[in-house]
Amino acid sequence: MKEPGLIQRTISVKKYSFMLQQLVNRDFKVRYRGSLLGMLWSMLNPLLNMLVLSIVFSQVFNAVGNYKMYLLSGLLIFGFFSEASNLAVTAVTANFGLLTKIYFPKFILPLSKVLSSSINFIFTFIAFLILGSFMNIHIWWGYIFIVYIFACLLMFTIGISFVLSALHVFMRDVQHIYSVIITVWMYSTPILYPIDIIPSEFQLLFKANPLYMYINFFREITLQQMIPDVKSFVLCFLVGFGSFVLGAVIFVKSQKRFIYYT
Amino acid sequence: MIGVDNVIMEFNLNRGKVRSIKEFLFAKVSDDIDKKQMFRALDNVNFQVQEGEIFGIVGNNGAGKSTLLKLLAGIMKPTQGSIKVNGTIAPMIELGTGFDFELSALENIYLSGSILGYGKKFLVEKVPEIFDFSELWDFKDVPVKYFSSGMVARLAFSVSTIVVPDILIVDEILSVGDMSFQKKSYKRMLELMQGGTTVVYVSHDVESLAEMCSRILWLEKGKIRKIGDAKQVCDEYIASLS
Repeated sequence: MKEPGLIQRTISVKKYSFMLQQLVNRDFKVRYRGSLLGMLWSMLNPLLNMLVLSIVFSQVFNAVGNYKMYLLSGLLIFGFFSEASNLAVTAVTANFGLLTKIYFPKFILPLSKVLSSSINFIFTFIAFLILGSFMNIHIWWGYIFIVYIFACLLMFTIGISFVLSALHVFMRDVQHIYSVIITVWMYSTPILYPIDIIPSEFQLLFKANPLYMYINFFREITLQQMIPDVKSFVLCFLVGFGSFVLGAVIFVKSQKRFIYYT
Repeated sequence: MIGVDNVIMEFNLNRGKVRSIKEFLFAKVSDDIDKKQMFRALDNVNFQVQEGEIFGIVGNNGAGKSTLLKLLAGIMKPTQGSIKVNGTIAPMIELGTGFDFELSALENIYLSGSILGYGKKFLVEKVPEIFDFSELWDFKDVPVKYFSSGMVARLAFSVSTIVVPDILIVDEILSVGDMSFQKKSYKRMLELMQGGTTVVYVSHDVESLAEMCSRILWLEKGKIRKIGDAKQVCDEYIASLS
C-alpha cells in the first residue's frame, strides 16, 4: 500500500478529529465517573497541593513575595506538563487492541492524552484566577500572551509525549524511568524555590530548562504584571517548535514497527 | 478492486521476548540473543478480487488468514510484495473495536463509530437504527461492563454493520448472540453482500462460505493451495480434512 501523501494526511486529520474528540471525551468520563465532585477535582487538586506545599515551604522561602501564588503558578505549568506526558507514555501501548484491528493515524493516541490534560489545565487556570483575585493579582491586557505561552508549552509537551509513547512500545522500562525523571525534573525546576538561591555558576543551567522558561514567562505576566522580553518570546517558541518537530519525526519513523511489538 | 501481488509476510518469532539486561549480559551463547527466527506467515500470495465479488478464504488455524486480512485492512505492511486496494474499507476483523466497558452503550456507539471513521452527524442519525437492530433500547445508558457477553456482541455487530462500505472484510463474526439474533445478523450480512459491496470473508463454516461466495482462496501454511470456484474448492478442502 502506498504511503499517504500530504493532502491525504490533512484530510485524514479532519476525518479523525471526531475520533480525537471522542477519545478526549472518554478520558474525562472515565476519570470522573462515580466521583461526587467530578470535574471540580481538576481545580481542587492543584489548589490543595499548593496549600500543603505552601504550609511546609513558606517558612523556608519567606523572602518570596506572594509565595502562594508563586508556587501555584509553577505547579500549574509543571502540573500540566507532567500529567500530559505521564498519561501519554502508555497512550499507544494501552491501545494495542485497537492498533491490531483497524487502521487509524496513531499519533491521535498520545495527542488525545495531551488534549485532555489541556482541558484540565484550563480548569486549573480558572482556579488560579479566582484565587489570584483574593491575593492581589489583577487581570490586565498582558494576559493575552498567556495564550501564546500555552501554545508553545503545548507544542513542547506534544513533542515529548510523541517520543515517550513511541519509546514505551519498544522498551517498557520507559514508564519507570520517566517517573524518576519527572520527579528530578520537578525539583530541579524553580517551582518551590526562587532561582536566586541557585549558585550563580549553575544559574544558566537552570535557566536552560524549557519548563522554567515557560514558568518564568507565565510568572512575569501574572505575578509581575510585565511583558517578557523579546528573547523569551523567541526562545519559548523555538524550544516548543523544536520539540514538536523532533517528536513528530521520531514518532512517524517508528510507528510502522509498533504492530510487531504488541 | 483488490490486488495482492507476490506478498510475503515474515514475523520474527523472538519479537515478543523482551530481553532484560541480566539476560543480555549473562546469556551463555550470544547467538541465543541475536538470532532472528523468521516465520513466514504468507509466502508468495497472489490474487485479485473484482468489484462486487464475494471472496472467501478458508484454511486451517495458522494458515495465514488473519494476517492476510490485516494486510488488506492496512494494519500491517507486507515484508515483500504489494497490496493495492481501491475504495473505502470497513474491517470487521473483530467486533467491538474500541469499546470501553466503563462507558454506556450510547457513549460506546459514538466512541467505536468514531474509531471506525464515521462522522458525528452520521452517527447521530444512525443511533436509533443501531438500538432498533440490537434491541438494546432499555440499556441505552447502562455501562457496557454490566452487559452480558451476548448483549455486547449484539451492540458490536450493530455498530459494525451500520454502513455499506466499498469493501467489507469479515472475519468469522456470524456466531454472535442467541439463535434469533444469529438469524437476524446472517440476514443483515446477506443484505450487505448483495448491495454490490466487495466482500472478503473468512470463516470456518465452509458450507455457508460455499453458498455465499463466488470464489474461494484456500490457504495452507501461508501458501495458496488452491483458488477458484467456491463449490469446487470447498469440496476439496472438506475432502482433505477427512
